[in-house]
Amino acid sequence: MTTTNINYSDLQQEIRDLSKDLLESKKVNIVIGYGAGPLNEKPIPTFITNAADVDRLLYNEHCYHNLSVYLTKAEIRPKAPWAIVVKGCDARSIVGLVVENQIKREDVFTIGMPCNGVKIEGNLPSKCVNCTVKNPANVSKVVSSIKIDSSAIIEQHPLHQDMEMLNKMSAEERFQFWKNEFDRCIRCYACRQICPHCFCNTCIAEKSTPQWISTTPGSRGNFAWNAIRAFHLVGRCVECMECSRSCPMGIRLDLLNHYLAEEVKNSYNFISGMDFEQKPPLTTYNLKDNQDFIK
Amino acid sequence: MKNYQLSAKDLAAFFEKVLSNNLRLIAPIKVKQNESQNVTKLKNKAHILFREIPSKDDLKNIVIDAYTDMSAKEIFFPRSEPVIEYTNKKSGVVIKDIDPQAKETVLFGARPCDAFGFSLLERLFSWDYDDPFFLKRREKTTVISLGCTSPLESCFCTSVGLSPMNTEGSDILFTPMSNNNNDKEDRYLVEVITPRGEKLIESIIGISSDLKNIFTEGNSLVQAKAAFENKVKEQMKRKEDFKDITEILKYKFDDSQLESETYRCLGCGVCSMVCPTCHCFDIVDEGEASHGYRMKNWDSCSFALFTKHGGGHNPRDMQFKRCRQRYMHKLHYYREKFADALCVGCGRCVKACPVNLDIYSVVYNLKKAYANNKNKEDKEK
Ligand code: SF4
Ligand code: SF4
Ligand code: SF4
Ligand code: SF4
Repeated sequence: MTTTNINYSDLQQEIRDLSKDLLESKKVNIVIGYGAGPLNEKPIPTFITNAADVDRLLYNEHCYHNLSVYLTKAEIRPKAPWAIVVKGCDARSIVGLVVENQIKREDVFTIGMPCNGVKIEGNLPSKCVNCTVKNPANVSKVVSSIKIDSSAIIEQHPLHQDMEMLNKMSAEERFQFWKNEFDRCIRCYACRQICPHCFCNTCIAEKSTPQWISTTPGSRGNFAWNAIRAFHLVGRCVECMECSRSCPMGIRLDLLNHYLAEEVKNSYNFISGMDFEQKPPLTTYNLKDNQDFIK
Repeated sequence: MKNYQLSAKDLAAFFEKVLSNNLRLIAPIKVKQNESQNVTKLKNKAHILFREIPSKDDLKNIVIDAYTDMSAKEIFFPRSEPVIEYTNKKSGVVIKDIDPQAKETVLFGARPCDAFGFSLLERLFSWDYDDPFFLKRREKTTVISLGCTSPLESCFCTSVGLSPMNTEGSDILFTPMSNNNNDKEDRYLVEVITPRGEKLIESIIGISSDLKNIFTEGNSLVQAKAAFENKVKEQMKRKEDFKDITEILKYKFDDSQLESETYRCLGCGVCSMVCPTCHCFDIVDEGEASHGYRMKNWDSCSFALFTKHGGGHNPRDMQFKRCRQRYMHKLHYYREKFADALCVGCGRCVKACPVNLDIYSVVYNLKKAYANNKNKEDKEK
């Protein structure tokens, strides 16, 4: 059935039933999903290890977190195999983690949710506007038989005009644009901590012998930090926009990520997190690679 | 001390006088992102932050009726500042002290909870060692707080013994008031709380008769304030008393409930950054071998690096242990040492946490479990 309306209580019940089965049959040790938070419209990441507790799981349009970040955390990693509730966009992270050998595909049972966009503090985030994975792909099981009608996809990405604006700028103006943004950075590293693809045990920003990036919040270190983080995520970032949601200083990480994703798409015809067989272009090497730029 | 009444429309005249008296004025303004041209109707994330108001023309940017995303602690304790300067010369290393650059300042628009937070920070920064950077700036700053008439759903100042119109920590308190309780607030009750506040008001209204005319007698509003304060307190959604949590936490260090409540913490440190009372800092050297600065930068106990030893061992090896430290410090250790909890109930961390970890609900749940347990034990006896 093709629809744009979602009955969340049905979906929620299916998550609960499935989780119960998975835990009881010992197929997984833990279910990572959403639960009721203390404030309205703010569900919380919730971890269930006991089949009797599955009724704590909840699902609605406010379930915006990308939970796959937890899979590589020290607390959760040893609890494999896991089951995890994912929307289509979150499922791309799981693919990315498998492709980069961070988790084993057989260790994770993905409970895929059909999704017609989430609400963050009442607003539809830009990532949902042109979403191509409303019906999740690459998951272990899609919950319910409903199919979201994705014909409403518009040609232009909501950040298209911002991209145009950047493209029209001179290199200097563009530098100034990003400097203005990064100057506000307070180096809380929320962007890194919430990113499923920032899984390094020791981040380059934490290395001290030698130090690569000045840890002092200020123009020099901030620019280096944000630029290096962006470079490390080129072609790996799945545009879940969790970093821009979390940044307390409202730095335009959404635009930075989207710009780089477009570059990768245009240069390598690659979209991250879509295919278990394809490595991110900047992390692989092939003898046939174009090498005439090496002089 | 004296009480005055000031009409809301005369607030600008007051600020103008502050500026023309050569005082640095700091107040909340909207700090915009680089303009977004989004085709969708996405709300452009504007951040309300405390910033200097350099001139008369900038007065229009002051935001009165919103809550700031970051606290005002950065006026006294900036996110980064040099504490010494070093120069490596042939004759040896020369170390120079840094002047804290404390300027006569008027800080407008801190909330009563923020202002109480300054007094908590002051206890710490003047405890075993006087921190001249914090103390000199605090000494030169007159804090004019703004009473809260519509607290947010995340606010819980009354839980920690404060109130939306609390005076401690402020030098002057402006409370928006109305003619009677049901009208829109159109005036301020101006309560002068400290000699520093008195000095400011006198220096301002003393110099010009027009200001004397707009600062009228305010005693008549004081009684109305008490009723209004109670009404606003009543409207607050979060009222659980935090008093006995200190006693409970003493026995909760190894409790699995604290672990499960904080399990989802990602260790991003946002909670510490936005908090008016978190005060940990990191000391790092910035520069070259020949010349540079020793910096004092904000740090957070939520970071894994915070307790990582040189040899690689980390006594707080799991995220929940770091999160536990934050709660223990705020609600147990600090209170034992300095009499009050190191949380003023501003709710900023509640709003900013990307995984909605909520100090209020953690305390609420711990208290509930403790009470249930006790009930059970009593019954068994
Ligand atoms: S979340 Fe924002 S403020 Fe924090 S480190 Fe990242 S870019 Fe900087
Ligand atoms: S959008 Fe941000 S959080 Fe999400 S994958 Fe990209 S860099 Fe990571
Ligand atoms: S409690 Fe929330 S804001 Fe604080 S470190 Fe943990 S995830 Fe970040
Ligand atoms: S712990 Fe949270 S609520 Fe308490 S003072 Fe800090 S930011 Fe405010």
